[in-house]
Amino acid sequence: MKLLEVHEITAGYGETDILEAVSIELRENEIVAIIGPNGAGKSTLLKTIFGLLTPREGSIKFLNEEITGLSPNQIVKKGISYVPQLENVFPSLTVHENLEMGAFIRRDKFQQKLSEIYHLFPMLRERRGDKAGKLSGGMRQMLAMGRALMLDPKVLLLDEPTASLAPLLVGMVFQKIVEVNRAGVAMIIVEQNAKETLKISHRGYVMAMGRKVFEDRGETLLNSEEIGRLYLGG
Amino acid sequence: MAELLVYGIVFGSIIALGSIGLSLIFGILRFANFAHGDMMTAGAYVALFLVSGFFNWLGIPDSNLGPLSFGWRMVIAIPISMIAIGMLAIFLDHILYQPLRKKRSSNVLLAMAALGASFMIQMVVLILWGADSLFYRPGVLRPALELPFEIKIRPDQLFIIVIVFLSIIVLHLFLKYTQMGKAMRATADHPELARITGIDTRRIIRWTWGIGGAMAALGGILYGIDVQLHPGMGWGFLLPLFAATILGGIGNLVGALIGALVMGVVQQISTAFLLPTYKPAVEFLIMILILLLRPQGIFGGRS
Repeated sequence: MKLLEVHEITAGYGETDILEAVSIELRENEIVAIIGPNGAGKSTLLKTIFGLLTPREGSIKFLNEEITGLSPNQIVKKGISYVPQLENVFPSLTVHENLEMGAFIRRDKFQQKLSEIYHLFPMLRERRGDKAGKLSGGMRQMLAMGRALMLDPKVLLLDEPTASLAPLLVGMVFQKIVEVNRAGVAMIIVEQNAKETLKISHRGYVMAMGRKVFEDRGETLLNSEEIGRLYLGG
Repeated sequence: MAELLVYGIVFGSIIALGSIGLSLIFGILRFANFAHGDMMTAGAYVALFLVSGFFNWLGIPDSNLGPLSFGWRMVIAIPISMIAIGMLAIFLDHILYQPLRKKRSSNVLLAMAALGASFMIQMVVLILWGADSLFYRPGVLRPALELPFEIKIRPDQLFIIVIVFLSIIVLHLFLKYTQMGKAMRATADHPELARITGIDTRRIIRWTWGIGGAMAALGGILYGIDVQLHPGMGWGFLLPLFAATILGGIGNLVGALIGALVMGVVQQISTAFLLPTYKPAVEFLIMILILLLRPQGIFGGRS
């Protein structure tokens, strides 16, 4: 079943278009990678899906419902969560408070979900009372992901989850992404770390200059000579 | 000297009620509310209207409250005035600042709008109550209490200090333990991320103005009880308010409280050496010194 259908969207900041007629889709239980060089419009695509930018043309559907032009707080209520690349935690709040804020719009008691998140990220439980601003980069990524998962989203949008992390942590973050996905959360991941991402992705899209230039199964893209040469650095 | 210290603490704690609201509003809206002092004025006059006008008309008797210079009417008037000014603040944001924010106006324009609101409030007070100084209850003088170390303090002043600290503790608990309080801190930390998380930031902004306005009203009333009411009183608070907020670190509430106490005490102690008319000069001097030496405030915060 298709969760998300992005149909030929054109979007950008002010007068300048960054995305030109980009179409992608996300099915249930999938991890979809969006890779490509800097400035290809990958992050812009994610922001447009989440309503941080309004597309000039095209449509975005979530579970067959039009969500084009909705604001982020409306979209998050529908079941899509977004983890920005940087500054994705509330620094002066504790780890625990950050997770509670993730559940701010939940009307039920979310203790069960909270302990699930702590089970998934045991390191967060150890530091639940610490200010999020004191955490290392890797821990912040985990916290940001944990916070986004507090709402039980059907779709998680991750913007460069491993950017500027030490290699050891990169592996750990990807491992967590796979665990979250196995629990039934579909994901779109925008990454510079293309090879590693394609390894865990079911499908992938390659973007360049604001357009979609390739799409295929993750494995196929990974083994394609042309894509390797052009976009994965040889 | 001990007496000046007491006066300084009383004035400082009144200022703290304003500077905490100012700091809260700045933290969440990145907006310097130049009308904050006048919200204090408005709060004081609304209480005056209730105590000496409306409650008379309703026929509520004004029995005395122990050694204090005011009675039960004031006890009822305080929460009503706080709610009224909280709502006034939300209303002003709705008709004045929110449209400007929507147009992404510059901070200078927002500050000018606040200045305009400040003049409007002052003029309305001037038209309704005139330019003379007024008292909640003219001619009532209560003997001061004598504490150890030759400290003299009026019962009213003791009441002011207790009320201020109680309300700051309540605000602190609210911000620390309630979902709304945590969401306010989250929004102050990172408004964009708060929106992404699904927090309705417009609701947060209304709460912030409501709390800021209510605290300001309380500060204004307490000043009216301690000293007198005057249409320009809030304008005079502006300097110590901003100095206290900057001293404590913008967006830092504990800092705003301590900053206000320091301002109050320094300002009062200065009158032992200088003419009282130099108080604003002393306030300016402190503000300039902080901005030169430690612009992020003593306790840090946002620059």
